Amino acid sequence: MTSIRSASRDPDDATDEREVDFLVVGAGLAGVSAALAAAEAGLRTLVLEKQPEIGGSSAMSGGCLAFAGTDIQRANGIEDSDALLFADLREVGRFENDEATVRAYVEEQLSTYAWLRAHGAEFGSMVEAASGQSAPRSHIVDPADLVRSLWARAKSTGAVRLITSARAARLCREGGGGPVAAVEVDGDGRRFTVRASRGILLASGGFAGNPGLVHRFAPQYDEAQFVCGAGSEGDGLRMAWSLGADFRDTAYIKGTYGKHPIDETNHHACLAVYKGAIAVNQNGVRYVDESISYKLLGDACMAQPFASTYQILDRDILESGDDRVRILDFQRRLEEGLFIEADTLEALAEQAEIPADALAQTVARYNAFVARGADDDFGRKHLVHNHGALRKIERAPFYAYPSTAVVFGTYCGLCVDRSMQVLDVFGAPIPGLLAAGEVVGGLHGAAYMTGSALAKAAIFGRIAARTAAEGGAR
Amino acid sequence: MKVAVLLAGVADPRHPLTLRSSRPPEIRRDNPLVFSPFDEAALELALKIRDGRRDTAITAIVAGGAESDALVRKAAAHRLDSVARLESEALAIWDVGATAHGLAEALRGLATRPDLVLIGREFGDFDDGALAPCLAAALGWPLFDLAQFARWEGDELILVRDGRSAEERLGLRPPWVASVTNDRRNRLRHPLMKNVMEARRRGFDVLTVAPVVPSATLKAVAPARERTRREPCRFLTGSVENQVAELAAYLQPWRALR
Ligand SMILES: Cc1cc2nc3c(=O)[nH]c(=O)nc-3n(C[C@H](O)[C@H](O)[C@H](O)COP(=O)(O)OP(=O)(O)OC[C@H]3O[C@@H](n4cnc5c(N)ncnc54)[C@H](O)[C@@H]3O)c2cc1C
Repeated sequence: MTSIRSASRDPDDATDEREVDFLVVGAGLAGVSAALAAAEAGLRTLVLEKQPEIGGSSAMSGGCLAFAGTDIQRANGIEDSDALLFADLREVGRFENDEATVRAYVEEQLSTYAWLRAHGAEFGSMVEAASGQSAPRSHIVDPADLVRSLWARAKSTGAVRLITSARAARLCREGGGGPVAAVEVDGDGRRFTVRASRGILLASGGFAGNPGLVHRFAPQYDEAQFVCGAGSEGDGLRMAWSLGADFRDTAYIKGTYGKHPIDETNHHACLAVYKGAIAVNQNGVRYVDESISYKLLGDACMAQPFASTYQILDRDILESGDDRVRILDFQRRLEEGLFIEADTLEALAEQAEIPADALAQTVARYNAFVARGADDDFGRKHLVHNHGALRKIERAPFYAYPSTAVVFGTYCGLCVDRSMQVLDVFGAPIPGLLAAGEVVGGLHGAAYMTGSALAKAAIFGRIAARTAAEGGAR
Repeated sequence: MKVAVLLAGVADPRHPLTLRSSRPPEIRRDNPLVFSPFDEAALELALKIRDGRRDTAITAIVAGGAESDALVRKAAAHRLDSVARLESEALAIWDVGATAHGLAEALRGLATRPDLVLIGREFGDFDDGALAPCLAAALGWPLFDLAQFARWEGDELILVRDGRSAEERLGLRPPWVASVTNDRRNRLRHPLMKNVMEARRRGFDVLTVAPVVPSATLKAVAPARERTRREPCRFLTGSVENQVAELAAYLQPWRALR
């Protein structure tokens, strides 16, 4: 903990101290959303980004955002609502998530969707159902474009500045124990200080890029794959911890199921299971209800031999994919040679080196369950969560998609109140300190709904900016 | 059929090339290595041959130093019958003739003679296509150059390549050397995780050959001169129509070059 004494008044000043209204640490979706919203509210804002480029994990993500009750859903004849979204988020998080944080998401989601659109976000015309969604609500956007265009808007207000290759290193409290009022920054080969009069926002993402920190909470993932923005090292968490910040959900760090274990060009998970595929291990045996959150599927996969399993599907399921949705782009992956393909299940088993009779038996047993409407082995009822009727695996050719778990993000983190103020270990707000995006814990709980991490970044970023603008951070 | 695949690996083009030394073994050590598309094509062709006839035995030999052990394991992950590394210090790889003799000696030293030797159309970073013919000459075997695909017709293995106007197919009576070029049909498959893990545990032999006296001495390896751009890169801006028009105008002079 460091205290600050004086500050230069001019934000453009090249001296070692600068002053702004609002300081944002990190230029992923949470950071740029907050910066734009703060600028709209008239705050002079500085964004620090430790990488040479903005974007973080947000820019490399699958671009699914979970919103409910949108015009796109209505145009596709999908009924959805705040209430259903709330129920799903709580349920998929196994009620381990914080009700107030979930409510903050739900109450601001539709206005955030409209705000993003007003700022040029171009969502695809289709929505898909994915992990934890009772109604199709994955709204698809090009995530790198989204971050870029929000940043361009923020910049065009003239009220926001960005310093790249500048790493926030320490938070400083006024007079030692007062509100958090400044950040010490490492950039350009020197350390300088930035003071912020209306609040400091940690939008620094998660820590999937810090194996040591992940190991402390989730040693079972030591062998998993990690894919995330290069800056996701937990800096924000550690800075907040040093001020006594509380944190939650670390017990639920999980990988996402569906990453090809060998392919290095395709970062994204493929979830044929959500269109009707089954998951079998190297012995040709099912091991899980495939409709549950892909995070829980990740855990189940890590416990199988070789921490790697296969999604088994047929032609109909393959054709039901959607190449515009990265987790459902089966055809593209087929063209990339990532699926194993064969005319019979026996030939498929041979290529995957699975015992052929075991695989044939597993598929026949599962098809019988589908016909009867009851999965005696794992109780699967739907394609995904509470959505979609199960389908048989019967029309050749048959396909196997080798799959393991990949940790895309940590989705646990700082405890916040509804205004995104960071709470200390006694539940009291730490004055001056806000958090948004992946660095925040409490929304996801035990598992994860597709699209809720990116949407959370935008939603919570906006809330944090509003808190700062209304003077509520201090 | 017994197939030997010769693999070399190249500096991974996704990383900037580090050139701190003029000694090929040190250059390899300083740079992350991957299989070249031609190495991959040769390996996949061997796997295709095995897909067609289960009694096919595949041996892969990766030329390199200890830095290439990861490549040996990568090849082994395709559940090959045997894998080995050929110590490349002795090979003088800038000299195709000398290298071909070294490779030929290594092949002659194998416990059983291969019926078919597959080698990428370029062997590592120092070959530009002359090695396969030289190897065939050193072995005294016939050469099928630039094979793209292989299939069985009964007991006969047919190698296929596209000529300018026709597809050429050759039935092989062993032994043969075939150089392989990359093609949509021989894109290397992904190994199964199970076999990747087994390959991590598997041991392999390191082969050595007597140093070959090269006909030339390698004096230096220096970075290629950088090409300078005539114009800096920039994004096309404005409406889509404007961008299309601007791109079309930019490409217009290129028509003449067709
Ligand atoms: C491959 C992949 C696919 C995904 N797909 C989806 C999806 O489809 N839907 C979904 O909801 N979620 C998805 N996620 C998760 C989601 O992208 C992230 O949770 C979300 O983007 C986090 O946004 P953020 O702004 O909080 O963090 P980030 O986007 O990671 O931004 C944080 C920024 O802070 C910077 N930073 C860190 N420390 C400092 C410091 N000390 N000083 C200055 N800057 C710092 C980082 O460099 C980074 O640029 C995916 C993630 C990955 C990796």
